[in-house]
Amino acid sequence: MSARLYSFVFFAVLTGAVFLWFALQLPSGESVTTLIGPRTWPLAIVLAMLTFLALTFVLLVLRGPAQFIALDDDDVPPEDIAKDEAVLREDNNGYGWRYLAVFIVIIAYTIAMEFTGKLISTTIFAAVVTVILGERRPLRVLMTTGVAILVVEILFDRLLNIPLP
Amino acid sequence: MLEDLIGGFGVVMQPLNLLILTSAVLIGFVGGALPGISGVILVVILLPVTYTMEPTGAFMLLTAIYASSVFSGLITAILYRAPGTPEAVMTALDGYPMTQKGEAGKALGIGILSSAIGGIVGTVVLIVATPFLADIALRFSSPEFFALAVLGLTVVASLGGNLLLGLIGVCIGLLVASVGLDPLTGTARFTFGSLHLMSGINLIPVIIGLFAISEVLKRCQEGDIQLSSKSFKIRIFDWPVLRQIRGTIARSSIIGTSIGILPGIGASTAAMVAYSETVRWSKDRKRFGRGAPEGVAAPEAANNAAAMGALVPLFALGIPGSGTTAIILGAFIMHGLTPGPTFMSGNTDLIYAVFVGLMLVNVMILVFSKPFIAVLSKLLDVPYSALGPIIVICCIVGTYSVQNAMMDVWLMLGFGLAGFLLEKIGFPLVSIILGVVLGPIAESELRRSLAMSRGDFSIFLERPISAILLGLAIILVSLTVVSPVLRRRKLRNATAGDA
Repeated sequence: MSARLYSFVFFAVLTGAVFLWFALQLPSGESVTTLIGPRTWPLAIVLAMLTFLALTFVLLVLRGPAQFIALDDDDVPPEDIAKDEAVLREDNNGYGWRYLAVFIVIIAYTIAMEFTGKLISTTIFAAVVTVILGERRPLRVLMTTGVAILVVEILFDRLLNIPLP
Repeated sequence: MLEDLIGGFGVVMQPLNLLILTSAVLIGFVGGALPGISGVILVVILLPVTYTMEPTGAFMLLTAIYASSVFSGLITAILYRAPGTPEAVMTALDGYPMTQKGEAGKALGIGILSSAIGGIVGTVVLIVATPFLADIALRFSSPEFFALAVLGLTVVASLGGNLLLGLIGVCIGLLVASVGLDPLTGTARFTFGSLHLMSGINLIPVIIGLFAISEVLKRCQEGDIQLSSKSFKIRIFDWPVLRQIRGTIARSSIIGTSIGILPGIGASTAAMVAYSETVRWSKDRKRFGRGAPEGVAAPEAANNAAAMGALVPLFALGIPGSGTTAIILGAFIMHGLTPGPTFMSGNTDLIYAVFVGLMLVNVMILVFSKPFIAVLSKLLDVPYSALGPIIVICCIVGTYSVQNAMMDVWLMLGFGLAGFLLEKIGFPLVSIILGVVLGPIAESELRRSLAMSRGDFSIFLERPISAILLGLAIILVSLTVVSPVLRRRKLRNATAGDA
């Protein structure tokens, strides 16, 4: 958690610095003859954000990451909650990077939609993501793909008249 | 008001609007019951779909989904100790032990009745209080609107999580809102040479990315959750039980509505406070946590009442009462409507149709919940490997439909990845939405106010309503900073006393 918070502060400060540079290029009130120019508001926000980030960094160094975790005094850490037999949780070892695979497929789907059209790209996307998310039975993969095509073709295209690539 | 209500009833009774309302209730039931798909996500996913609808139908749909999803979180909370929505967390404390004792039907019946009554009480307050509050707000000018926007932004202080992270989130949201052409001078701000960004960043990609896409990515990491099915018989109107819980329902409905009206507090906090008060008022506190009927009635009456109460500041003042109402505020802006004091007088048909619709939703909860729960036990078997791709497709198509621009989809994916990573540090994502929604209002009213006063900031203190609102904002933030310190000191003294 500590590494994540420090990383967040680092990247947020970097982003803030970039926006600060761009904000300083904007004209001030005098140059555009208004009382408050286009620069004032975004500049104030960037400076406020950098101030809060600096405070966050100082508190992180002085008191550690525990103060940023949203746990009240009475909250029980998840590992201490007794497991419920009615809720069958799949063993999720090795799923840590599954989100990345799904995200890459989503990006590929978005790019492919403009070249192949909605039907082909949706068919491939639904099948691939269903398999990545753990489904191995061919009939279930086919059913999910079928529902996806129905949603895109019938619900969005015909019923709601949303034009798609 | 009575004429307006009758007019609203007439609008709701039109066949298309009745169909929209019924569909919304069923969609809300499904979304609220399934863990991982909350009312927020449902409203977010359906937001772009409502873009092509008439405003009346669109807002009946969104508010009905919101109300019905708050109710249906209790189903899996009671049956499986897996709350479908955050508002149902307290319900699981006594609801699940009742299931374990073989009283699942009784627990569900208590939850359904309490939710319906709490929702009706909240809706009545909504109908009565909103015009009254809107009347007061007609005396507002630019300084008051700016102060209101600041108060709305300090809602972040009450949204839970860390205050500093929330304030950073608000700043991020305000920066996102400033992308595009400056409305007063036409200067391009943070467009990076992109023609699309000159019109600014639309709210839809931000909302769908931050909430829906990030949730999908999070669920990819968690593996599947299967809930084994159970059989039971639901009893809603059980008179001996009703006599036992009637006081609890009445008290919790009032607590819930009062808390819901306060901007930023939300239904989850209302449920917790109502539960605590019920335990405090009880003669036998040991029953709680072991299947006490009052332990189910209190949070359910409160969370539904609070959900309705949260709409009061939204309609009357244009500031959201909770996270989901912040997104509904975005929906209003998307339709070219600005909730607030003048909104009441210019859109009476829409508002009273929504009010009557919400009243009907609470009645529908009583009618449809029993058959729905019977069907739901089958739907809970659908694995996320099937749901996930459908949700992503709905998000992409929905976002694309706003401006027929792929750039919006890319922005959505960017915000989605950012939201997923930010949630790893417990970042309150709704603070970003608050900044995006309230940023334009805050900036334009600030500039107008300073134009009125020729650059003198004391205008905000000289006008009493503005001064009070800014003072409230400061108090809210200060309380959030001070109360954990006081709580720690109290705990330290208590521990020292025991020693």
